[in-house]
Amino acid sequence: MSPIIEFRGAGKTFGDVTALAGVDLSIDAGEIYAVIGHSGAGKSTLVRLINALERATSGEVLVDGVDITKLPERRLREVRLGIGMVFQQFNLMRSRTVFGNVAYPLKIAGWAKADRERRVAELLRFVGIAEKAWQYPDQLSGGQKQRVGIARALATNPKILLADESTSALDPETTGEVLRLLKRVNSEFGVTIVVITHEMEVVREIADRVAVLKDGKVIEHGTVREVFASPQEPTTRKFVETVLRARPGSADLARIRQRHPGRLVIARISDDRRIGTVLSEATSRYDVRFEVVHGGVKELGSTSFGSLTLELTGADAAVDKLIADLRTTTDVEELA
Amino acid sequence: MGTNWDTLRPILLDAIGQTLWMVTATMVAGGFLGLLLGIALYSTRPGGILANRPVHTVLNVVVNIVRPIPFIIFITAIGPVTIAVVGTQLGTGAATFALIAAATFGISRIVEQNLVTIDPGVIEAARAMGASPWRIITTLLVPEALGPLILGYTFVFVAVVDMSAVAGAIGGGGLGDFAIVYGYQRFDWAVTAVAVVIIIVLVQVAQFAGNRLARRVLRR
Ligand SMILES: Nc1ncnc2c1ncn2[C@@H]1O[C@H](COP(=O)(O)OP(=O)(O)OP(=O)(O)O)[C@@H](O)[C@H]1O
Ligand SMILES: [Mg+2]
Repeated sequence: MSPIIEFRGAGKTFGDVTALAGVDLSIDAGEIYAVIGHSGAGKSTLVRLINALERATSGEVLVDGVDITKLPERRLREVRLGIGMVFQQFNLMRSRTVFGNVAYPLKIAGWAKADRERRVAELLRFVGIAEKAWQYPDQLSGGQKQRVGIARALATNPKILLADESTSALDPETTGEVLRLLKRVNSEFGVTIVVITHEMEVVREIADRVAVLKDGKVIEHGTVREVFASPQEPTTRKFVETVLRARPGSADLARIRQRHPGRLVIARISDDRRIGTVLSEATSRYDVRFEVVHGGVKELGSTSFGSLTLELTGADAAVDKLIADLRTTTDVEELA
Repeated sequence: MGTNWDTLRPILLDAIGQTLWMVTATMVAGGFLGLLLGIALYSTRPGGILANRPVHTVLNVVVNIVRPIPFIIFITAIGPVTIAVVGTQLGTGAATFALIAAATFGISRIVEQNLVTIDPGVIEAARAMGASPWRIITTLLVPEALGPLILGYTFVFVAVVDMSAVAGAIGGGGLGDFAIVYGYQRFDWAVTAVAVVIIIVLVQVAQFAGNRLARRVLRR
């Protein structure tokens, strides 16, 4: 499949601040691609290169095969009509009703009045706020405002949707609703979505692939499953940890040790790595007692994985034997 | 000494007419030109939708030079320009021209200050939708800042009434001139009081209308 968005050595500097450097990334049509990174990593800059709200200062950015870094402003406006954008702070016009906000991009695109009305009604139904059409943004909750933002971004039937921290201003429940809505946008309309976030939970919930951005560089990228299963960089590992809470942090570990004097091991869990069989025989076969002291298991797409920290108590040789047998099915790490 | 209202009445009515004309013309023409200048100041600032440092700097300097000039000096200093445009530097027309010029510069700052309060994110959203700068100016900036703009123009109205009182200096007539010539210079307090009351009423009506309109626009 050919990429719908491609960065080729793209860089962006503001004066002497380097926001992005040498970014190579390709995003396929129809996928949900997440870009994660800490504050200041360059995420917003990256996403704004896609619709040229910022122009790259080096390299190329291809959208639908066209290098948009070379296009004049007038041509860029046409490109932007095919790219929707959703913002963290919603960025709705306070002077217009929900209807007026969603109709605005259609006016810019030159749609006739009757067509606009039909399209807005359709969009408001899709995002589930048809009854709020004549209210003003100030009268809506955050989640409702973001629904308007999404409807507005979809108005002109764009092939690409850019979502910059679109759920960061929302509570966890509303975040879930908005993410499910984005997912529907992707599956029902085949819209390619680029999701910018600093929350790994968002990546886990909706993305197919993910790139990790640090100090303006892509330090790791791959399918979400790959990245969750075996994060390579320390930054990535920390992001993955925030979702799985699988490894006890150093403070947790100190508390665990106080209560659990036995040997501590971390066993990785996934659908094809079952530790139940071995553990069920711990006492009878190995004469080792075990206790689950920490861990987390999450769903990711159709599989589940995570890790558990176990306290093993028994004769050293017996514990060694149990660990050896566990290692035949999964990765086991003993905490010193 | 009794005031001869029979002879003063037509003069007073004339003065009211002159003031209303000067103020209305200034609010309409100066209001429009000030809006354009204010939008230009706002749009050309660094990071603006038509960012242009040289243009912004020039506009900024010009506004900063003209705006603080006291109107009584401005109305005479602009004389040569007034002659070129109006044909004379005396009379109500000349005074109105000076008022429009002064108001344009004053209003431009008020417009600029109100536009600055618009959330840049909203403008960015419009840009992301493919809106041209002109489109953003006409369909976004003004509607989004309309409430505060109305209050700003109401404020300007009071200032223009104030400035129009100086029109007498170049024979422009108006209520200020009336109060000076028939009240102050003839030691007739009653005449001055009448002029003052009329001006107060004028200002109150404008302020009331402006507040109401702004509240209607902002009520959402
Ligand atoms: N218009 C600008 N002018 C100057 N520097 C900028 C500008 N925009 C971004 N930067 C700088 O570029 C770097 C990356 O900023 P960016 O907004 O892309 O980060 P981010 O990953 O989106 O952060 P956050 O999570 O806080 O939104 C930062 O150091 C920032 O200060
Ligand atoms: Mg950002």
